[in-house]
Amino acid sequence: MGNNWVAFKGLLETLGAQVIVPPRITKRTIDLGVKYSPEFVCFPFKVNIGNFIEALEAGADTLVMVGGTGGTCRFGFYNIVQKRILDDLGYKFDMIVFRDDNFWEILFKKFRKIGEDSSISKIIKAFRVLWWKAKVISEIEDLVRFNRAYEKRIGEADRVLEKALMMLDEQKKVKEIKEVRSEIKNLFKHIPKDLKKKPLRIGIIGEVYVRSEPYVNLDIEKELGKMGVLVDQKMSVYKWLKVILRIDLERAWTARRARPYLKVNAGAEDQQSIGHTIKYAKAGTDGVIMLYPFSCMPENIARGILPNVSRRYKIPILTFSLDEQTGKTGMITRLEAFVDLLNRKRRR
Amino acid sequence: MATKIGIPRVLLYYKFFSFWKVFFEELRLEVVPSDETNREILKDSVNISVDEVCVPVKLIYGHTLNLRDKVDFLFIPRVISTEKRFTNCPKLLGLPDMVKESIDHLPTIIDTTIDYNRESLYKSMFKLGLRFTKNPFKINRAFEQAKRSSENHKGMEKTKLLNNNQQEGIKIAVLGHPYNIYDRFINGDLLQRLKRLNINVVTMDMVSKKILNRSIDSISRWIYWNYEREIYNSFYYFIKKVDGVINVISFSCGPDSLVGELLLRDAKRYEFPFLQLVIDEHTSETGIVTRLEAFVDMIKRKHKQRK
Ligand code: SF4
Ligand code: SF4
Repeated sequence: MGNNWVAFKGLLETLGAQVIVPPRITKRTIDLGVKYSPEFVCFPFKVNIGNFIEALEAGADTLVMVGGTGGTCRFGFYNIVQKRILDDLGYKFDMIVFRDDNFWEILFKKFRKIGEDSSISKIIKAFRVLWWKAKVISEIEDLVRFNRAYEKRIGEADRVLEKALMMLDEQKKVKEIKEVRSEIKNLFKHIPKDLKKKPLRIGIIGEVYVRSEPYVNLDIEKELGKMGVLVDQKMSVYKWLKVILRIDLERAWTARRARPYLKVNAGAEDQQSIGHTIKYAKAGTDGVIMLYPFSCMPENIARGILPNVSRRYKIPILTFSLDEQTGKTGMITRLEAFVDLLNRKRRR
Repeated sequence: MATKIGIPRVLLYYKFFSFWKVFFEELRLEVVPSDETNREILKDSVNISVDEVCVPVKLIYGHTLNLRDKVDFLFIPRVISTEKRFTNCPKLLGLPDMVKESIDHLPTIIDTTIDYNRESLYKSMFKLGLRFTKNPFKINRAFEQAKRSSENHKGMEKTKLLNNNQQEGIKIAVLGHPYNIYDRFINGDLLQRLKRLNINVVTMDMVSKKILNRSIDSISRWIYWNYEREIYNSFYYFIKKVDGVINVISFSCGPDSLVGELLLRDAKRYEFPFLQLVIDEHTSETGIVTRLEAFVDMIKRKHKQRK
């Protein structure tokens, strides 16, 4: 999940588990995933499989997955088929699946097994570390987006990003995380910026995984940054934690906005995509880019409805349906055309 | 002139039409189904719809156009679930909205929500009935009649298929969503073709509800899509009773891309003849025929070897 490995590693390490961060996604990861996955399953499934295989190769013996009975789309059923595929490949491993009905049980029984000493206070501590690291990461990501659009020398913000993640990864205690947080903010403050610029503003909507995994979305945010666009994106693991704990009020509001166009939440982010588009339009954002995995069910519902929303609210939308065949050159061409269009629209 | 209500011949039409038809007719409405899928309907559908959704969902657009100027109301229910604790594919949940936002000048759309997890079918249908009559007894009777007729209908379908079958010969089970199996245009007239090859065909309609809905193993327990669980369960029901299974699935179908993969792997494990037919708007009849013939030949060879 993009930069968020830092947060999850923090969680598991505090629990005393030895963490094998799945090696960064590479072409090999994708190739492995595609090779062993059903042909037209959605892309995140395939990348997951690639990740799992590489983690198992590196010696992992426990895989963690989220599943469930609450949803309607494919994600809740991923774990069953993934386990089957990996079993058939002959790997020996234990898969921990978080479901809505066994959350606490797993937390207190299974995770205790993982760590050598896992008292309740330790588990609580681990979750505080996760919470804070996720929070700081989401702040860092927003800072990077801002700085990319205004920086004088292209690439500066990304250099600071790398450094900031390293700094965050080293911290083990909530207190240290808070300290390092202000240091990081300072680093970003010192990037030379041209604040007189009036960059185009583009909001990104769509499916969560492809939005937050740069390798999979071909680093679209960075590319837009290079074109001097200020990107906004309302998704991060921090936000997800809030959703899971049901303390994210914004989500319900966004869904309400979408309701005249899509009455129920059919699954995942469909209502959010529509609601955010309306919100962006009202906030005067120049355009919206929608990212989703090829054949994603909820987002295709949203996509069937969005053209009408786009017309009514006069906000241009560009969609990318991503899978292993999406090419970067094609994407950049389309992005440039879109940015041109928005620039022209603004001048008028 | 009676008020006309149109029902697009897509998706759950193939499961619930006889129920809906009697219900509306008892309320003195004239029920108009759209034409069977044809070239024109398919063309319209492909033009309007997002290009990467499954064919059955695409077809809703063409069938809606087919009815648009003929009826006063259009019945496109939002069927969230037809079994407690289960759910349908997300695309069925968003169906009425997708139609409304894509086609202009539509007649009034009736998008009754049917969700057994929330309220009983009776309650949903009762609310729907109130739109057309104020007489609760009439709605009540319509509901009872509709229920009876749909049960009769199921029985008839079953005997029809069974009568066609001879005792001898190869038996193949065709599994998949009813809208893929019974829409002749979209699957290259699969059932007829099998019959012409002298195959005895059985489908999920012949399996009792009890078998379809039980949890047969640790996997079927977690299949939360109602119809996919039925497919999975009937696969295991048939595996001991037939010579081969054909699994018809739509290209880019979400649930089937996963459950179908499990079936594929299981069939391989047991070395059971299994053919997965993936259909989309480009599926050619010749393609289907070739694959069918090869499959049937394979089963025949296997038979001979056994003898
Ligand atoms: S949201 Fe889309 S991509 Fe994610 S699991 Fe569901 S169908 Fe697949
Ligand atoms: S279950 Fe599959 S075929 Fe049916 S509507 Fe959903 S995606 Fe399409």
